[in-house]
Amino acid sequence: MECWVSSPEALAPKGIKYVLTCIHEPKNIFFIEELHEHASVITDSLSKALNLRDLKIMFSDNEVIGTDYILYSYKVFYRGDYVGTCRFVTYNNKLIKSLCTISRGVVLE
Amino acid sequence: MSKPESLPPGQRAIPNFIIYRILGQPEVDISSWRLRIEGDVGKLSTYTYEDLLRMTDTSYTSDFHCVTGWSVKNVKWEGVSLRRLVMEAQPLKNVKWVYVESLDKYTTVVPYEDFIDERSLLVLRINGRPLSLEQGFPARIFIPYLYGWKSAKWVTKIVFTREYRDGYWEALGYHQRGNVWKEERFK
Repeated sequence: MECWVSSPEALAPKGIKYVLTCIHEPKNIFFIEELHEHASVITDSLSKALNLRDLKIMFSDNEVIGTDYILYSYKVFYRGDYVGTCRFVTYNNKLIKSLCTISRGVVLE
Repeated sequence: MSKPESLPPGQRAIPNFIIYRILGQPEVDISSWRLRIEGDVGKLSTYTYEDLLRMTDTSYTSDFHCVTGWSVKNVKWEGVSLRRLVMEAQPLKNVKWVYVESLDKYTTVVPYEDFIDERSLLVLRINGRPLSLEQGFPARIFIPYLYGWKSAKWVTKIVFTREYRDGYWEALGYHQRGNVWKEERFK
């Protein structure tokens, strides 16, 4: 899995400061519990990339995009405060992309 | 159970379930969770999760149809036949409706004749695994030819009644029955 952090100006109006994008080999994800496991891995990557400890992630909701894509959203919490969202994109139940946004208000350690 | 290769009118197949938790995600303490059968019945009943696991008697593959237009095909459902629970409860004559209550205070209502259909199920397992919390652990209702809002998750009470009463979505204008093949989406 390859991840990188960016700070796109285009998302500044939305209050977003950091975007973690992760690309990986398509992974079969059929049960929501499998996605929870992946979300924990991504949280570790996010934690390391932004040097933020005590990150927690929690499933929020999902939505279908077209007929083959489903987007799963997780809320990210830092020391109990909501600080961002991770979105996992699946295509016919294969996870193809993970992307997290973190808000401007977060002070890096 | 479902017509091969065909979807009800207005539906499209998608790869997996969209998780709705309109009243939030309830917490579940399985040791204290009970399924209660109440209302116009000859016998009030209470079941633990272990009771229901022992009573598992039905398994089949069927599609799931959400009123918003998406369907998931070929889902494997396992659980206890609702007809069996009905027989044990001995509903009184003239019972016409079944009101279902969930841990999150969600409610829905099903016509009695659909509740006792041979395909109607109290689901304990889906696609070979126990229900996840998001999918309604420990138990949910499933009636294959009714829209998914009738498939109440986190079920805790089943009430047999003679009088109709709206559940959550029915109070917002959704159909009393919700047959997918007749596109009964709204009243």
